Amino acid sequence: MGSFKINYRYSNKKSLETSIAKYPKETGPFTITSTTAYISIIIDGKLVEGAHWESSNFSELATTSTWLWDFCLQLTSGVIKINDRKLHKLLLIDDPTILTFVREYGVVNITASAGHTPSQTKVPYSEFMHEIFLFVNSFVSDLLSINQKILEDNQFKQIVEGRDKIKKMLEEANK
Amino acid sequence: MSKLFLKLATIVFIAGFVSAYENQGVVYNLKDYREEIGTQHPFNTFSGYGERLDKATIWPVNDYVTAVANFVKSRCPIEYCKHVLIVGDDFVIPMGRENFIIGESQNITAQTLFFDRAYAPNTRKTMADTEQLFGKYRKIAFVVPETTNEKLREAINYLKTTLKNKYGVQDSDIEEYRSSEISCRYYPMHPLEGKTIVLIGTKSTNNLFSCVNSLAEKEDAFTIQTSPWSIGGYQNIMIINSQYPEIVNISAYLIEKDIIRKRDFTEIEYFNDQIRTCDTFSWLPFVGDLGEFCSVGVGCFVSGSKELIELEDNGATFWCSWQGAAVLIAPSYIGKGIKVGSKLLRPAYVKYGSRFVDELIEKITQKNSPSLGASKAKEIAEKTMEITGKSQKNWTKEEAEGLSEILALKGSDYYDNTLMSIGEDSARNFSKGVKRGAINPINIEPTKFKEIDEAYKRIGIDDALEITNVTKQSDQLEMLIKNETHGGTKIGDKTINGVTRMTKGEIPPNEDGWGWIKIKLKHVLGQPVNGKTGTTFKQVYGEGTEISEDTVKRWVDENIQNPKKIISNENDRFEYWYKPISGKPPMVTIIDNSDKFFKGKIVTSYPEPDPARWPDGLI
Repeated sequence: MGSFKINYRYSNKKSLETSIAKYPKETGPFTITSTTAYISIIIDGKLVEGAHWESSNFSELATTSTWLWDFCLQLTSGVIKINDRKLHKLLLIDDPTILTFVREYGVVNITASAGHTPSQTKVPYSEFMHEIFLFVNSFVSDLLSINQKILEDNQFKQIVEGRDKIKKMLEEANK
Repeated sequence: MSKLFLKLATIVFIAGFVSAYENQGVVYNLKDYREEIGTQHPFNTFSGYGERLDKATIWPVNDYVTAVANFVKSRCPIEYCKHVLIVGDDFVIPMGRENFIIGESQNITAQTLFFDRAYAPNTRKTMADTEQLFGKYRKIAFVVPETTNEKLREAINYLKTTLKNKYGVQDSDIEEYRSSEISCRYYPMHPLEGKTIVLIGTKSTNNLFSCVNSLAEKEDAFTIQTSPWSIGGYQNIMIINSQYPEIVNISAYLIEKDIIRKRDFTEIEYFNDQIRTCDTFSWLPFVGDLGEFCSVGVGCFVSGSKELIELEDNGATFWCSWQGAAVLIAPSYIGKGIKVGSKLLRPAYVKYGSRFVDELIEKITQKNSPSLGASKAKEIAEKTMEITGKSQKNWTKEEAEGLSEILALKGSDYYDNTLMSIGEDSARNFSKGVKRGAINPINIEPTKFKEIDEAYKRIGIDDALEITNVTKQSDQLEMLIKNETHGGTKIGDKTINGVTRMTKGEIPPNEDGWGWIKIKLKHVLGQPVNGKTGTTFKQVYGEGTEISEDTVKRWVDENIQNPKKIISNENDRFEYWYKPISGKPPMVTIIDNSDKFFKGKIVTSYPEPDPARWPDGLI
């Protein structure tokens, strides 16, 4: 059995804080674009390196950078349907990163690539769900700690609902 | 609270006071200064204080820490109050909290660290610190040129009055020296020792300029540095390097109106001379808002410097950065400068008298003033037209005001040679669009506008500007494409069916960006955005030759109108797939259609050479 980790760090924390703090007085692209973050996907202890970075230093730092808001939205909407046993593919816009996952009984088969040959691993279902939960929960907590009103946004609400559903699925798996 | 704890707390408290007393220190019990601190305590009740090292509240604690630190610093300059004891108001004094990314590569984790640097004095002062430069207990020394003419004297006095009114500086705390009275060399009891210095003049009129950092050599600039005669590096020197009394006036004005507070700059440069090359009179009609000044500057400089970019900072758009330096675009008539004889408005004085100009100046100097009243705006616009010989009697007020802005930005030659070349009807529409903020004449040529105007008409919208009520530069229109497949585009409060639009977009610092600017940089020019490169149209379709911006726009238009496949997902994102050249990989244009996001706007468009990402069924 392999391992799967996913984490992030914001590109511009100040921008995030000022933008989210303005919600709902100001909505619009900035709400989402300010969540730009370096996302690291780690398969079997090895960072999935992106082929699209201007500098190799970036490539060692993170798999890609993208709008975390959008990433979480896509990620949660796929993960909550993982029990359909179908292949779920997460394609980032304007970015070669592809993350796929499919549940095969008690394990989840994961592939990730960012312009290079895909990395592949299998991890226990509960481990996968736990990792995704931590990731999304961290993003949700970050934004709520800045501005609780962001919950009024439909897309953000969708992410929160996805997180809650994943938590429930995780609890059921651990029973 | 137990008696033992209370006793212990009392002992610690008393020990604190004793220690402070013995060290000639100061004790602030924050409870007594709640109002002065101004910021609400982050924890409403004592029981609400549940801070732990592994679970710390970041905001609003940091706001409170900053407020307490500012309070302490404002009460007593650091050189006088070296030992400060802060007593919390029912809560432990909070430390600042900051999330640090720890580790490298795959081991990156975020950890909240606690720090006290907000309380530490910063000897390097910026424009944000004028209150500390001139605050309580400060002795201030003006060092002025050997000879000061009447106008410069008036300006210096205005600066002194400003400091007195603004910071409560006493007459007895302000001294003035001529430069010949001061020696560069430091010696005990030097007249400038320990004082905040205001240095006025230029290298040729004030000998003291040779004593300060060479950075101060930039003329027509306002700089803050550490004083060479400071004690322990705590005092500073404010340098106004200019021969123009107007620059002294503007600097005083900036302080008086609090325009530079909270600005973390150490230098402001005034482009006084260059401004004078602009079309003076056409600036007049839209000076009702300080926020317009940067536009003036951009208009003046854009042909000379592509590096000039506008900083969007809390709407105060008259601040610009240029070649890495902070720049204030300040026409010399700003503030009281005009009243001491700027040449700029002399013809206006002659023609309309000082009352008219005074009213104008009054409008300029009202920070964040509402825009000019309708009748006044019209009057000014009409007078401007008259001055510039551009009498547009039949134009509406909105059109005339828009034209005034165009003249201000582009000059009167532009009006004669470019704007009117598209015909008066389109020119009026163009002007109206400028007035409404839908069109930036710096970016959109009138001929281009005419194309867009016609594009609107082609899709059945008579008055294009009715739906281009945009206020942000990022929302300025680049393309409008007929499209019935995604439910329309939202502009302001209106949803326009059957239309997709591409706007200018933006790339904020460290962010991925969106819109045409992103497509252009990443996929047309091949420049990295946020450290990431993208596949360019040239790489996929160019066969070694460049693919022009116009070609890409044409392909985007075809892509939207004749897609080979449309994919929409639950996120309201629409992917339009298209093959611009048969036998080559497809391109994809993404439209975001979510409620509060782009709503019918093109987020990006790029070629996709990776077959793994192509949708099923795309041949």
